[in-house]
Amino acid sequence: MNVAGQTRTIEASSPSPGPIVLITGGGRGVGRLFARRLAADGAMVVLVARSAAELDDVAAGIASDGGRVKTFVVDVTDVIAVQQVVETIERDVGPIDALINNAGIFGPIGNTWECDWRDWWKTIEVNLGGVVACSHAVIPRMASRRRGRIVNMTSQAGAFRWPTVSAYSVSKAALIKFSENLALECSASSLKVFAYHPGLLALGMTLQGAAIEETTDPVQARVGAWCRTQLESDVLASDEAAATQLVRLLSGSYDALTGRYITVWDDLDELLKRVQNATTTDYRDYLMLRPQA
Amino acid sequence: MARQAENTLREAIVLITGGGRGIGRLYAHRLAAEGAFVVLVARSAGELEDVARSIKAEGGKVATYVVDVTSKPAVERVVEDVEEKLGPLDVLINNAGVRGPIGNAWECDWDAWWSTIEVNLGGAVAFSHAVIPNMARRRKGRVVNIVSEAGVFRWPTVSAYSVSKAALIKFSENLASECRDDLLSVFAYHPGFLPLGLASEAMDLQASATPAEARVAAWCRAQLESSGAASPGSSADQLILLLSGAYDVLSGRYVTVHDDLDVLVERVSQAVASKDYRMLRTSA
Repeated sequence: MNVAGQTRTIEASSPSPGPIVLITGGGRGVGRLFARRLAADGAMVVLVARSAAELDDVAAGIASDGGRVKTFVVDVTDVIAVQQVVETIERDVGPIDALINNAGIFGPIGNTWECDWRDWWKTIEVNLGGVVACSHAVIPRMASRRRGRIVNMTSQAGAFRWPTVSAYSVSKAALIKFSENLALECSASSLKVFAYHPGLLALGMTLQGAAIEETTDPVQARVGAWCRTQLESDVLASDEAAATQLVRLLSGSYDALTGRYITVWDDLDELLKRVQNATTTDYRDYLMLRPQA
Repeated sequence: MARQAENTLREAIVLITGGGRGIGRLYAHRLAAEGAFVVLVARSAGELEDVARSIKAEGGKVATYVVDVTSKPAVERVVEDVEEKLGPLDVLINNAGVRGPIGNAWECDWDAWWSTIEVNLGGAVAFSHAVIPNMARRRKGRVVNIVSEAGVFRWPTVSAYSVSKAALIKFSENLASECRDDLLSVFAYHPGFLPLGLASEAMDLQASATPAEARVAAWCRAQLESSGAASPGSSADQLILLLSGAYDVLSGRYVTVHDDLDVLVERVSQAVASKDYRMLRTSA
């Protein structure tokens, strides 16, 4: 519709600002994938990671595609630094609408009692502690605005198990349960929390695992071989599918799934129906909505 | 079919963490009465002395160590000392645990929240890490991790506890797979809601200030008065059954005081590859 004398430049110069999305571990792998996708969808993505060089690289790529991005170097296990970064983001960038807790490490490979203790515990500190610390910093602000979504990146290794990669498996199981508890605690503040398994991707940790080849340690060799098999199998999820499912979770259409474990393979509309039909006693399957798991 | 429970505990050396009070104390008395040499570790010397005195008065064998389970070097020293002085450990019962802070996770004191994970998960993993190498060499040993329904289901406003127990259940499952070839067994055992330890501590919150604490206290009181509560005797009986060797096929599983272990054994043989997180409850 053209009306004489009315210009369209006003509309064009004031686009919808898009949500502010904070992604931890945003310098590589799945975090990088999600950052690019959310920026392409119009979000202001705020990336935190330990490596300045990797952050710079991702930010340059997003900016050259016309996306909006800010980066902060922080170690998620440093609770005080996390609080400070969140304060800075809220002051300088704006209110955080979504938090993607993605930072994580693979941890040591081997029978638990043969792993280096510090490596084992460090995995819990990063994969669980980092997430809880970021949630602890961000949620009070989200709760006061009664607006916000949190996605905790989990894994089937936490829903099922992964012997010889136990620190990783245990950290992800803890994170799935944390998501479930947190979702109930902040439902009165209208916040939503999802435990999301992006699938095995030809990215990040899967590649890291697949790179374990020449080794004299049979346990390490088995994990390497398993990751390579997964990369060649049809179990592998596509980057596109993993990012699209995340965008759906952040859309608001699936908020009724708050607290649940969601995978890249799930039909979210089907899960919504199960939530509506389910009673607590039907599904005490850890909110995973799969009666046979 | 009741499985034959031979007394594998006579002369067995059993280490119990958090052995100074509550459920640890209950199990220490019972295992000593079964003829085991019980080694109790806890932070409070006074409580340990008290338990040791009463076990000795009943003719039981007991040793005690004051240790904080979150100190890995201290845990290693204790295990070394026990094995040097008493002999190899046959059983490890990871019972030490704290309830942690009550409130919405983001409103809890961070240090209180995280130290719950350090004690409840880190303590159990640290002791397992120290004890299992020797058990694996001997191809003999059982580990029982004391868990809770809060780790299977959930407990909003008591999230650190719930998360730590979920982590411990998953740890038990992974560990059991890892040490199966060494013939070791690992169980995640929920002792039931008992008028002891953390549950009775929680009940005492009734005069407390915050609404979340008052709700938790009221819930605990209701549980203890309901038919859902377990008896200390049955809780200890189930532990003895798990340690008897008759139920080693349940290694890696979450087992509760309310379970009929023979029924669970039947389900294991039926549901070989069930992906129900090894819990054997098709809809649970």
